[in-house]
Amino acid sequence: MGIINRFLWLITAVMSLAVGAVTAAVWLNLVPEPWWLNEWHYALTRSETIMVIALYFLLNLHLLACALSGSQKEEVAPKEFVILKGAYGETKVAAAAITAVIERVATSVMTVREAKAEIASDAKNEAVPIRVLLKLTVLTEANVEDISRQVMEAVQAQLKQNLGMDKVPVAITVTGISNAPVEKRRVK
Amino acid sequence: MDKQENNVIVPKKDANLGAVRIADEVVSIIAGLAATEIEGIAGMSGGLVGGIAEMLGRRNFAKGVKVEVGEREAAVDLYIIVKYGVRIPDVALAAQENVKQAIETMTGLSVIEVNVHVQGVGFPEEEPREEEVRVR
Repeated sequence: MGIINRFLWLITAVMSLAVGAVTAAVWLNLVPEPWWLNEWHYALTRSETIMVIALYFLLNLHLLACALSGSQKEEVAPKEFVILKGAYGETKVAAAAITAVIERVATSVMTVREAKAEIASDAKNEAVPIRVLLKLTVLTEANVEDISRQVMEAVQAQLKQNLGMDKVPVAITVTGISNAPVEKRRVK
Repeated sequence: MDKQENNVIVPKKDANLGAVRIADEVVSIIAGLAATEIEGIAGMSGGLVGGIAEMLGRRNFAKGVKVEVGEREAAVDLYIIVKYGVRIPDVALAAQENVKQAIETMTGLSVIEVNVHVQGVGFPEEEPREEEVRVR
């Protein structure tokens, strides 16, 4: 269950608990009858009451739909790629680890301001089972062609060193040009 | 010999002396310690529970290790974080060899496979330049 649905569940649970507590108090005569009858009649005259009831109804309807839904998106396990099958077992690398390295290498190239990498699987190629999709934001004075070539070479060299994969396909897209200064952290 | 709960019973030649029981967690700890000895491994990837336990000051030597233990064999999965710049296949091979040797030596179990899952990369901390730190 996602974080949003869990929050909505929290709200409905608290409302249900409150209603239950009030009902129990009335049943146990903890609250004088004239008092709660007066409050009840007052509540029935307020428009806010129907809004709260409608909200409570919609929340429960949503949660009921989630509970009965058969097409829930399952938690996707972190993607891993097999880079080595040896005598002792397999070696797999998580996509997050590969993208972290690629983005660090890409941003180390001059005039590249931001880099966002995605790893795609290339199951047909056993030697190089991954493809890199790299989105860059460069500075205004950058030569896009030169930068793309430098980034591609740097990424391929780093992946060859780290993963032992030669000439990993790297598709580069320059998605933005920015001249905003890089923010420096001033305090620890 | 039968398997009780999560313990492994290693039969001894002289049955009169009794049986040796090795808990799964012991095998995990042996594997975890053997893995962290490898140069190039920054740490073990333990997930949320392991991280909270460590924040509370409790060292978890079995963090990042999953084991399947039978009567005579074991299979190990290591979840590691490597240092930036190392060659992952070499580090993984070293970890596999070291873990296999450690478990087989200490427990007598036959390790059939040691799978390595690289979950992240540890980057070196950038040293702050003195002139940029204005407040403490």
